[in-house]
Amino acid sequence: MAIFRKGVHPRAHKERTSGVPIARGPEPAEVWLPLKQHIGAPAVPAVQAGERVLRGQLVARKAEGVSANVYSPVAGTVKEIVGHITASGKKQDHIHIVGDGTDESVSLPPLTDPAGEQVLARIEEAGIVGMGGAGFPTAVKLSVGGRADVLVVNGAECEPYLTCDERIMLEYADEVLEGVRLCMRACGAPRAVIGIEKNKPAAIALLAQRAGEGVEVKPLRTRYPQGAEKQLIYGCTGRTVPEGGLPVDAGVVVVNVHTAFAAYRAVREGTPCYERIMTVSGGAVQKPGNYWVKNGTPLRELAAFCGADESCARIVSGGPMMGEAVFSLKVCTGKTSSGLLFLDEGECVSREATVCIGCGRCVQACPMGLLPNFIEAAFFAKDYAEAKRCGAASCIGCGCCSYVCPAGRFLAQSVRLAQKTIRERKI
Amino acid sequence: MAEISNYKVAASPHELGGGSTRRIMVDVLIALLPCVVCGTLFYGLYALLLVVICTATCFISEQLFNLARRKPLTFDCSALVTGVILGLNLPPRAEWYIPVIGGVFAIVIVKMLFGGLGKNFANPAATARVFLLLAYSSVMAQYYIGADISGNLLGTPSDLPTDFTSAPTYLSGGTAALSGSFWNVSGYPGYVLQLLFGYTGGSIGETCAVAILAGGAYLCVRRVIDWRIPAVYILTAAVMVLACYQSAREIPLQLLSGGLLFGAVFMATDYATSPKWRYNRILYAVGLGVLTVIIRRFGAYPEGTSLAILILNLLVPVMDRMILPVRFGQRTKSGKPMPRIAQWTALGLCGAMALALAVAAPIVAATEDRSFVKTGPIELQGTYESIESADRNEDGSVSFEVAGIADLYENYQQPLRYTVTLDADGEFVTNIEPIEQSTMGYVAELSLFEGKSYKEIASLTQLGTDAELSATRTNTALREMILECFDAMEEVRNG
Repeated sequence: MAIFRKGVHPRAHKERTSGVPIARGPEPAEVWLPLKQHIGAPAVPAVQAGERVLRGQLVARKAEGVSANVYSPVAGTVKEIVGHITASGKKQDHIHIVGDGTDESVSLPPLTDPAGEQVLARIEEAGIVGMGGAGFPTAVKLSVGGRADVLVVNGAECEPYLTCDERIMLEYADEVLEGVRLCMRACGAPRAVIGIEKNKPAAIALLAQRAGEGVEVKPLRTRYPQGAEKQLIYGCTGRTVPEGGLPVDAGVVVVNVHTAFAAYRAVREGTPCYERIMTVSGGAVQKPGNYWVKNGTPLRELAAFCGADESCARIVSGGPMMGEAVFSLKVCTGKTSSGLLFLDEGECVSREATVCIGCGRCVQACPMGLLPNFIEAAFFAKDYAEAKRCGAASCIGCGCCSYVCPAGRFLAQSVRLAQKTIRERKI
Repeated sequence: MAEISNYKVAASPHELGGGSTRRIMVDVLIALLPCVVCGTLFYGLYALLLVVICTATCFISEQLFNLARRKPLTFDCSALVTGVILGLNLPPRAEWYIPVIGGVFAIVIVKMLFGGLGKNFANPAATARVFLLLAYSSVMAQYYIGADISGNLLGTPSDLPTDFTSAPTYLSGGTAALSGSFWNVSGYPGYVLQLLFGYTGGSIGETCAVAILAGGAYLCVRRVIDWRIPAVYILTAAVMVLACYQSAREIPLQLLSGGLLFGAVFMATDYATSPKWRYNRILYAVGLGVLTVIIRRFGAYPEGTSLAILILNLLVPVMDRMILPVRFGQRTKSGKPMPRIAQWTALGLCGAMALALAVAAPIVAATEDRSFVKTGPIELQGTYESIESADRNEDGSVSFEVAGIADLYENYQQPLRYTVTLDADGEFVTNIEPIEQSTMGYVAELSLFEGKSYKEIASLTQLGTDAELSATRTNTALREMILECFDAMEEVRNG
């Protein structure tokens, strides 16, 4: 069995929410829908201020190239299209919708036995993007023209704290499997492998029992970053994606279980992508759990709904390894928000960086085989050619190097900055 | 305007693994503790004092350097680690200023001048040891061992003539440096046992293999050091000993004596001066093992460990730069997967060495005729007229130094002095070397006796083939001496 080497083994912290069934989340009175909840160009607003919209109505159309449609999660009136902060701190255009409480809805016509092109068209129409966190428009990903023979489904969920994928697999197993089959049809792959970390034995057993023809469930070693695309492909199929290449270069397409679930909802139920399941967890939350959260919900509503202490040590959007620390609860959720963590003092360590002692732990931990300590040194010396020679361009940003560093150096950040500079300057 | 609140924002990851620089250094100090305890037990409180002086010097000189450079003081315990390691590398009866000079050299010259923690070009302790070895070679080669452990604790340099005897290490003096039996185990197993527990001549901390291995095991379990470095170092050294000494029984003696184990566990694994990638570390450890044994076998110094570490330390930056890990999915220019040359080489080398050791060591051991008997002077109980001293050789044979007088003429007596060597079983004369005899031609005919047994020599009737009366008398005198050697040999063999 092919297992990627290296990586780290952080404490899972999943026990708080892994047994909590998915529940309805807050019903926000107002939502700020980001026009860019995905990788690529922001969507173009299709509504104007003052216009009434229904739940499930298209409010922003995908732009040219890589982009995705945006649907309204509430029925109400568009107040304005306004710049609003995002988790990364940048200001982006959001559609501000004030709900009217009627919950009137529209939906797309369900398809009973769609062909591959129809599935692809529906996934594109429903605005589905990679819901594991990356947010790459799924329709683009699945249009591989028959070059893929395996569909790898990401159920690894290697980030600590997060349990939304695990709950989806347990509670919507048949829907997920149907979604996987629809995705297989869309990309033309005859075989699918669902990779699940071994710390979720119930999900592995359930999916393996119901999988059916052409779908295989692969238990994977519990190791971060098992769910990173290239590591997952290696673990599930033994194939290696060439450096700088895409999964399809290895004949593989990867989708998340939540994405497969969203595809099922869009195709079979006609529900476009306007809400998702999120894990709210952390030591400063009174009601941790997995919730259906509408896109555009301000984090403050979610915090209030779960009884979170807003003055906790740190609030993280996403998982603790790759998620962003939130600086304001005015930020709104999107299609890719997989979790919201309210960490207390004991859970997040802030350390002052001390000098590199050259222990080489970052080198041992890097799942991509890079040399983070040398990249950092080269980055500080502004020697980007040297940083590239040490592999900076191949960083996947998993954060293992920072995790293991005994000197508490911000290695991942330095490597990412070096990578960004190398890309910008085309070194 | 967006609300900017006071939330503590930080870069991901927000979850961090345990461990800090200070915790690592404290772990190393804990691992060094058994060595310090054993050193104190074996060599007395004075040895402990040396370690303390060395540690204090290192700590203070680092802080003084920081003050001089107007840098913040450093409390990461790394200077303490350097100090303890260097202290344990000193001979147990060095003068008090030796650790002071060594400590200042290690910290100021080797570490701080090059940028402090993590920037030193070579292991400070190893470099300081080599420096002291060259600058104070007579002091650094003086190893002592007490008569028994109980009387050790309060010995000072002035007590040396009474309490402590100067003892060469196994590396410089062979088995003569070891005592004949240890815990009633004599012969070869006794030597191995003795070196394992380390009650022998050597530096304060490096003799007790058990203590070193305990510390090493702790460090490996705590993941402070990479087990690959000591393991591959020892494996390579074992293979090299087998190759260079053509002896399998030499392997444990070589590995357990000198600074090899201590260096492998505590000095070769120094973070700043060992490679960062695991397969690079294997290649580095192979280099260490090869170099150490070559220096020991063919070099001028009996010790090779610290020199080997120093030399390989200088190669580490080059290795780190030249040998890069193969990145995940890395391709060659033609699109093929990148060959993992360094990885294959490292693993292949280790496999080949392990295989060679497993196959060759038992074969060599079976054919080996070296009997590891106690070499060195033998005290004879009986009274012998002519025997002045007896010495056991490596192969078990015994050389007797005999002196006598031959009456060449009425009033001319020629003093005679020979070294007579009998084989291990006391059956034959293997060799006779004249030391003092007539310069005028009345010399003994050694061929009469060499290779002969007691019986043959006793029954010799023709002692004067050259018809020279004087030579015949020399021969007669020598014969008496040889026969006495056989008697003495009888005593030696029967204990």
